Amino acid sequence: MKIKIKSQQDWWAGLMFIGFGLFFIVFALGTPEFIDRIAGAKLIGGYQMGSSVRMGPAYFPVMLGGLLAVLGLVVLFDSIVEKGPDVAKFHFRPLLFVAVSSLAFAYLLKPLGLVLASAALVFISAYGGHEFKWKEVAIMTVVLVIFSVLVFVKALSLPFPICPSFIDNCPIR
Amino acid sequence: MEGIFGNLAIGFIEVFKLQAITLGGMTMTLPFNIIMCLIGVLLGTLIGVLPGIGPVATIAMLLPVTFNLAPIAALIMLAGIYYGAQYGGSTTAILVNLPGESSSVVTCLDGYQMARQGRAGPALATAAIASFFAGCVSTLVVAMFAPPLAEVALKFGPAEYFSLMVLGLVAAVVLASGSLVKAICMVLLGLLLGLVGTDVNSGVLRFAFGISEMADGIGFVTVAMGMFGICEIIANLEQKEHREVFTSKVGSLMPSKEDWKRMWKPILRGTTLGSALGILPGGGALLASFGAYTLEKKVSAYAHQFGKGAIEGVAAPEAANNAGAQTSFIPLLTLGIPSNAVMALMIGAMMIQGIAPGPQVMTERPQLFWGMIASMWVGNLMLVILNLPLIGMWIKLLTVPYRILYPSILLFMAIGVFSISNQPFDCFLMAMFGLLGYVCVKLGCEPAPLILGFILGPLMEENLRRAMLLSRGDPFVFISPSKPISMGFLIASVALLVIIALPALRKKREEVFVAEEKT
Amino acid sequence: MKRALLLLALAAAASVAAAQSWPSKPVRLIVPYAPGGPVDISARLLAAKLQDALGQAVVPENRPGAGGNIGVDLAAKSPPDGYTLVMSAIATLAINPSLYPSLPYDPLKDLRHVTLLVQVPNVLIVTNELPAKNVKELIALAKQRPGKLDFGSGSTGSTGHLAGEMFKSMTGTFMVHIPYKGSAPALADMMAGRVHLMFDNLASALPASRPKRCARSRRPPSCARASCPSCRRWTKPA
Repeated sequence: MKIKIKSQQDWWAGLMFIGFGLFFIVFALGTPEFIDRIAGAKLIGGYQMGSSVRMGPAYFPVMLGGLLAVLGLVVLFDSIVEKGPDVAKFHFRPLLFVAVSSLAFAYLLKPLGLVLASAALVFISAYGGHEFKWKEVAIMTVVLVIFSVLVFVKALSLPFPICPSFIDNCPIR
Repeated sequence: MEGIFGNLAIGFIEVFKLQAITLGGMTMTLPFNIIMCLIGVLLGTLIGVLPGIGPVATIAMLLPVTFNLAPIAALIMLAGIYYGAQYGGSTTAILVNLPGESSSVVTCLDGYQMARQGRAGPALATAAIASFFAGCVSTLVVAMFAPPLAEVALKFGPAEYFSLMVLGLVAAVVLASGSLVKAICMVLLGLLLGLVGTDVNSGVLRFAFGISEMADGIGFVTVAMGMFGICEIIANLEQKEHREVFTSKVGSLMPSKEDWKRMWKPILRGTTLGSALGILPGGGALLASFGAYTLEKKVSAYAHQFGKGAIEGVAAPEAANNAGAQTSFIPLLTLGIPSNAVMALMIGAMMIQGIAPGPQVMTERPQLFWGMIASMWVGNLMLVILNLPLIGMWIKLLTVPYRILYPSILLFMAIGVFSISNQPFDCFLMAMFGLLGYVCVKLGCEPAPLILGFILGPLMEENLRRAMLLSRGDPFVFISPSKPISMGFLIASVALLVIIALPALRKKREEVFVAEEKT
Repeated sequence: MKRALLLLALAAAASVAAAQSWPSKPVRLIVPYAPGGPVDISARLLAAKLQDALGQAVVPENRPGAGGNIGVDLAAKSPPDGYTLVMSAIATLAINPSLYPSLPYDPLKDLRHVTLLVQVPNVLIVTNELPAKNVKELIALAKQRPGKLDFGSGSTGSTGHLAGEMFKSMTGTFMVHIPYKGSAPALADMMAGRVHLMFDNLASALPASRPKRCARSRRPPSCARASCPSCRRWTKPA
């Protein structure tokens, strides 16, 4: 008999919850012995389980992970029994650009300073939108950079470098 | 009663006192304390509006400045920052769905929906009015009942806290408007994510995968910015048009008559709940806004509107949140125990000034004690006067095209998250949680229960294990007759779970019946 | 007994080049803990005063994480030019090297220690519910009821925890360690009588336990006794 999935949304949600539940259990307890034997080495160490009196660090996560996996199964079962909505289309373009822009900011801030890092964030994220007008984005960048320097570095005195670290005598401090 | 009014009079005189201040060689006579209060609430509003920058970091940075101030002026200003930030936090929550503080997560749920329907004005006004009312009432509570309430706070041990957390988690399920099982799953996932980091009991590093930045766990702000902020931006960008998010017509600024009628009862209930939970030093204030929302959703005649822009869903949690913020001063003022990080800083500020915090402050320095309480009242008044005209400006912000708005929001979020521990890793985590949030939304799982689980997870485990240690492993410690509070909470949780589950079960059965009839 | 609890030392990356013109640019002061803690507050007070004295900006920078190890490691790995200072505490210099299996830095080799800034004594406080009136009676009580007394601490591996364990081994008693997240919740539980005793630093223990009759108290051998509304407190000079 072929199982028909009536709710794509619940099917994938169920799988996700089971996955997370098992993930935490495995990491809390360590990999089971038979997997280690196949791999030839202890893959993941795990933590002590303890007893209900002196609960070890693994106790609570294993309980929760188990519960999550079981409830994930319930969701999975539901998806076969009950009709539900389909998974809406994923849009990778905004996802990618938003994620990359915040990463660019984070990893550029220390070497390049707040001015350039903010400009990178604004440009990359704006590029992920529907419309990208050079002039508008440039003006926006200037305004935002001035605002951030004044508010975050000057007023709130966050310890951010303003200029790139390789420029020794920066005009603005 | 007379004593209270006499004391409050001392306080107000202290707050409005004229002082000779020498500024740059010029000596002026100014009501200095009230000016410090104004500076405090202004600064608080600013950092509250900026996502990721919280009152703890700001107060810490300002501590050296307070060294040169009189103790009362310093404390008034720092307190002003604290409750000013609560006001400001709800503004970003309503306008752009960004909870900067754990307490404004709930405000996002209905506040942001109201903004999308062009009712940002009433939502912001409701938040300000609810906060003001709650602030006034709870200040009075602090003034009148601080010592006896502190005794109540001491009744809460690990067992009581654990049971309270259980009740809170059951309430978290109510936050979601979709599937019940999925909401529970999200709570559990949040609990698990909250466990990342060093285990309090054993000192073992859990689920850190060798990344030293994760040794102290994942920050709340990081998760909230990712699951709410990043996720919302991506979701908005995938729409075809750019200005789709909010209706172009802004609508009225102030709540309508109908709104007033609907919100006063939730405000009253929220204030009561917030004042009560705020007293508990171990995360009580945190639960206040969640609890108030849950309560409203259960008692309101408009329950079906919750999550879709119900004004009650803004009024009650905002009132509870602000009431809790005020009453969380009680353990500090009467027992010398800080109930959260901000309160710990206030202790630091007092010590810098050479004041030993604790119950004796009330008797030995009545001016300081009552002056601070009176200043909270004045500060709340200033905040509401300040915030109501600002609403017009905030609304204008919404008419800015989204293609300009979102890079700005993203930049402020990135700066805020980076500033938590000055390292890029937190921004990476924020992006990851944005991804997780996006997947969850696509799969019909709501992020709010996850966030609450995330906050409560570590507290719950900690108190469970501590209670077991203290009782030497007696599992009945939570329901023994000697712990009536704990037992009460657990009974309430079970009752709440039944109330939540019944309609869902009934609905499911009806659906099954309908399906059977069709076949 | 345990005297210096919160040893705050100022350290810089090793081999500081002694230059006449120091400081010619802003000095970075790394605080390996989150904003608002005792170390952070001391660092900010120090930075403000240092700035006046040096005529250059001294910028405190919080790098919390891994019990302070991340921040100190950052200082140890930064260029040894005298422009990176770190506020280190007893945890990062003395306790963590024996507590963490692999510490990324060597507190003796990688850092040049500048000065000792703050010393805060540890005090032993007990709840009022306990019949013991001084340390002697406490030890007697603990011996009488082995495994029945609980001692709290701000965290596992903190000086409060270590002092408690030391007390146990020195007196040959057995008590159960109840770790908390910070000493505030531990103090609350102690006031309510759920936890019986605790070693805590004076700064956080003082607000909750207030000495009233210090001056005229009869001094038990090497113990000053103080009484307070809800907790009793002894300090033991070493």
